[in-house]
Amino acid sequence: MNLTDKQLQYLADRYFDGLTSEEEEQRLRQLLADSSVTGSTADELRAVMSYAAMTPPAPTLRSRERRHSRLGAIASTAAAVTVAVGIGVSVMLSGSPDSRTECMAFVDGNRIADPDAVMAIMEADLREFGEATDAVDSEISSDFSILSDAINQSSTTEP
Amino acid sequence: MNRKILTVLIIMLLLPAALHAQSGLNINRVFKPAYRDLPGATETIIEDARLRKQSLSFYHSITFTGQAELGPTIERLVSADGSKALSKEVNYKSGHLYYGFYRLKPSDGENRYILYLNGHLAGDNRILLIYLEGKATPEQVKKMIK
Repeated sequence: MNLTDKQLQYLADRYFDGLTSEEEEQRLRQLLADSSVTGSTADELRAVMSYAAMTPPAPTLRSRERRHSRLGAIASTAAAVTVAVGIGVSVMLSGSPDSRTECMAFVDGNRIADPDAVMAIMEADLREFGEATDAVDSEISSDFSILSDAINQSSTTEP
Repeated sequence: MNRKILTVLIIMLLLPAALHAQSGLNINRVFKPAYRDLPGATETIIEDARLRKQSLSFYHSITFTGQAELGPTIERLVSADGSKALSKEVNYKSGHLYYGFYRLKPSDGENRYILYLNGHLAGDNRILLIYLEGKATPEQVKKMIK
């Protein structure tokens, strides 16, 4: 693996985990803009980043708003980190799977916590998969039917 | 809020999902922020008593609407995990994986399944990837989806 491949893999891992800085993302785009950079990782990144580019960037703030926003962000971040650490630790310490409970969905970046709504999404996904299963089973039945007809036909024409 | 901090928070909230046997699979990549945050993406995570009546303990899905170019990439990851499956039912269209129902090796006494559907290959515009864990047999999972 040459230096470019190593750099690409390193940046790809960070990108998929949502950890890249703006400079790293810029470096990633430069690498991907080079058509000589090929491979499954490069293909995957090009596909994902092209769709990610469709998401509008967050609006920029004026300096005073940015300062107030920063103070508020520090306070809310400190609170949220405390909660998240608490959740993470309690999950890691909980012995029985039965003690864990989670029911959420993310739709276009928006979190849905209503269990009924989340279960409805699950049921719709399974129903969609079920319809495809029926379609595939139907194709197989049709293929067997064609084969059966062909075999029967050849049996009747054999001397 | 700083994007990195927010990402760390989301990762910590999703820690239970990462602790599952799913974390060692190739498809785990598709459940990461870069995919989850794409426009038109929906991720669902359920580890709740409501799954018990279907003999499941964990449900994790992600769907993409209107993003046909993701198909080949996700297909490659699904196929990599599927190559080690105990059993599989697959259907290809135009040389690409349209439908996949894989039963993976159990982990910690739980059966594991990957369900994959690329609707773009059949006139639809959705890609569907589902990971299941639980005591449910393949027949029970099939009954659940029909």
